[in-house]
Amino acid sequence: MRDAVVELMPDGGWSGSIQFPWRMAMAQRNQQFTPGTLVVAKGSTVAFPNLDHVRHSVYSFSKPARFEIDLYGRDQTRSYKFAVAGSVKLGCNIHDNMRGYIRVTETPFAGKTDRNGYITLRSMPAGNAKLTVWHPRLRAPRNEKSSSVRISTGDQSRKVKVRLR
Amino acid sequence: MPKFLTLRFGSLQLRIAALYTGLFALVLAAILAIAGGGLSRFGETSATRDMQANARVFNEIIDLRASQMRSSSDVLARDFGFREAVATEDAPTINSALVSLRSRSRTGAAFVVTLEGDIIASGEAGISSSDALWFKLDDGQDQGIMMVDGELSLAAASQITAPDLIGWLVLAQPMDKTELNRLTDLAAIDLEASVESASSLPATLRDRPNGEVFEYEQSERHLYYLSALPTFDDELSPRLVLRHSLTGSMAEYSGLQWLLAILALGGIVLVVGLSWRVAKTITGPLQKLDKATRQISAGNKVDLVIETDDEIGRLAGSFNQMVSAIEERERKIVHVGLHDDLTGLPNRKLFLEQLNRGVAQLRGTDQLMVVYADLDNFKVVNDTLGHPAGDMMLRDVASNLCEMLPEAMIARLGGDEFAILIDDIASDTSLASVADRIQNCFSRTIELEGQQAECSASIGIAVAPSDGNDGTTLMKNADLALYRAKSEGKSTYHFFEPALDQQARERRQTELDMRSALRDGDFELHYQPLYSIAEDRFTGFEALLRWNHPERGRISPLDFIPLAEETGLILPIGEWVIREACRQAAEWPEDVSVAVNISPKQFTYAGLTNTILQALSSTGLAASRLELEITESIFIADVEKTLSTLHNLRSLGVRIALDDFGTGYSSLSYLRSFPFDKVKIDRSFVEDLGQGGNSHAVVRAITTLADALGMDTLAEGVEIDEQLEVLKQEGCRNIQGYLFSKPMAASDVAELFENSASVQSSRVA
Repeated sequence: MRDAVVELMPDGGWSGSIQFPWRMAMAQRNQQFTPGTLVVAKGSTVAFPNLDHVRHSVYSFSKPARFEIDLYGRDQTRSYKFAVAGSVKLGCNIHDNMRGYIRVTETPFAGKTDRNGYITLRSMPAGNAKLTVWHPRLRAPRNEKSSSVRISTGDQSRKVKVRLR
Repeated sequence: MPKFLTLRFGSLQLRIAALYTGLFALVLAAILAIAGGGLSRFGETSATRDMQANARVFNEIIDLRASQMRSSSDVLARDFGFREAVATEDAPTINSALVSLRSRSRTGAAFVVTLEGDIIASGEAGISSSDALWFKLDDGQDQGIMMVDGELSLAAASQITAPDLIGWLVLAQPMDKTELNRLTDLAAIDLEASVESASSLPATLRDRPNGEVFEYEQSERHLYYLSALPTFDDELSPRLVLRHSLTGSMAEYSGLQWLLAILALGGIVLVVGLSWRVAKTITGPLQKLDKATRQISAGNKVDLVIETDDEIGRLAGSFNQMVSAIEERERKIVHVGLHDDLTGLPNRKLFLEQLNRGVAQLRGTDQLMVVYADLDNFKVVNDTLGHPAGDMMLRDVASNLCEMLPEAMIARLGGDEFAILIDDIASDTSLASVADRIQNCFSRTIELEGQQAECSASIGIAVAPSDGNDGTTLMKNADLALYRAKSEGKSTYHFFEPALDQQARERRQTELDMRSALRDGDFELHYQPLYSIAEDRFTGFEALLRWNHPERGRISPLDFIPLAEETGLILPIGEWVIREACRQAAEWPEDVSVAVNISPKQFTYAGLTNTILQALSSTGLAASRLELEITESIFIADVEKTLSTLHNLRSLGVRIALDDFGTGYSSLSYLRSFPFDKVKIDRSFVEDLGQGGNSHAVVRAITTLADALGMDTLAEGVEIDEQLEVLKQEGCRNIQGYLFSKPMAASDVAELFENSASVQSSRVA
């Protein structure tokens, strides 16, 4: 399954800085949020550039970030700072079918699966950790499924099964 | 069957009318049955088809209603503020929005089901099974039946997204009567709809498959259609029950059937009337004919009125012709039946009728006279001048009587017998003078075919009331009187007297006695010798019949022979005489013959020859020894036939003697017509012999004539010697009479022959 967010949080937590290699932006193009799912670190500010010819708004009723950005036009950019970790569902007030998901995470060991449902996380410290899989259609409370894993040195793979709605 | 019905149904008119009506009714009934059946079938089929179509439509109506509700809910569910409120679980806001939605959409209930399964409703939403609802919603179902506040309600759900699904906004409308009525108003036919959970349905309905129209009858006929509705609670398994009153929709067809029936009834009435009328045109004249026929049977005169010139009219015409023809014939028959053909006088029947009427009308001391008259010489006229002359004589007498006795009723009773009825004779009138007058009417000379014929009549008279009180008795008594008058001599009249009746009775008794005498052998033959002067011996005997009556003793032949002649008994008696005489004569010497009297009636009897032959052959008597004595009267009848009979008898070889010669009208002419063997000179001539007179000459003439013709002669009734002497002298060859011997019994004859010589000598001496 693609675009499932996978997070691995060491048991001791993570206090270091978090840097993801992708842009902290959720563009609107062809009346779609692009990328549909974005993983950001807590406290990140995400830009919402409008690349369409039409105007869009951005709203979220999700608990980690409740906000509304009024309609804005092409080549305009709005931004919002996500201060609380969690999943934020984005919609456009005038285009109901536009969905965007931002996962605000507190661990650097996070990302989203590729087309084939794979994700590779690197440089994790050994020890026990909590593995969380999230997907907007995952059939579970808060759309996420967590499990404890023990991280050892070296490569190791893990398969997580989820049910989708 | 009561008589009334039998009578009525017996009429042709009714039968014709009934037949036509019955046929018409039958055809109508068939048409009605087919049309009625077709109508009701058509009605049912079309009702069923309508029901099917409307049921499908009704499902769509329900869908439409659900869509309406969903449209309403969609508006709210998409409202940004509402979504925010749901997303943020802002219950007061949600509630207020739901209240306003409910009133706006006029639905019964509105509530939100969150993705978590919580229900947020305005007020108390009595939703019994929220879990089932949630699963259905989660499965994507957006409409269905559910239980809200204890009522089955149609619910429509809209998703609430933010932007992902966060819950559902549900609108529910109780499917109560009002709501359903609102929906059924949209249907094309009159439907009753209800939504029921399957468990609340009667078993017969529950078990029916869904989506099918069927008929289910309770108090009236209904078409039912059941269909399953989508549900938010599987335990409910709600059913849409559509009901259409078949009775109602058939009502218009039955109206049509009634119309048909009324038309049929009208038709039948029309046909009854018309066929009754048509039948009447046929049976009306028939009834008239029938009535006329009955009147004719009853003897009334009827003339049918001919109204038309068709077959019936012609029938009436023919009927009238027939009636008049019958009347004419009847008149003739009556006339013939009551009148004599020859004279046109009333006959015996009419006479008796009139007589009875006359007797019944006798009043006071009046008298009524019944006269029987018999022409004296009619037979002679008939025989000598021929029947046409006889008929002419009768007609002449009849017309003369009518002329002379205008006050009398004159009838011809048959033959030469006439009857005369004279009524209203006053008691002081001399009956004898009346009788004389009548007698004179008959006594006259009539000219017949150029010849004069003397006419006279013997008359018997009976007088009412003294001689009888009814026609039959009077006629019988008049007849008796006539009988007496005739026996007393011709051209006389005789009044009836009771003695005549007595005599008649005696005659009847005598007749009966003769029959029994013949049977019991009471008859006996006596023999009187016939003496030959030349041979001076008895050459034969004449057989004479004697009757020894067991009670009345010996009865004279004079007393019973005429009666036997009258009654025809002479035939068997005569036959017996011939046989008996032959039998006894066969025992006599061969030179002695026997003479037997043959009566005129016997002579005309065809079997006579045969009887003689049988008698001769059975006794062995030589034919020449049998002598038949006949009288001149046999010539009065058909002379030709008489001669032929005589020749037949002669050919048998028997001898034939002419008895009582000289008394008839033209005795001499008889001698010329047939060569008799013997002539017996009547005793009247013999009696006169010896007393002077001219008998002497007559006897001589006879003997001379007989001699010349080669006939033997015999004189009868010789009693004294003087007579014998004269007879000898005049050349008579044979003698019979008391001078020689009385008739003697057969035994005496036998004895006589034993001493024949002595007897002869003693007598002759």
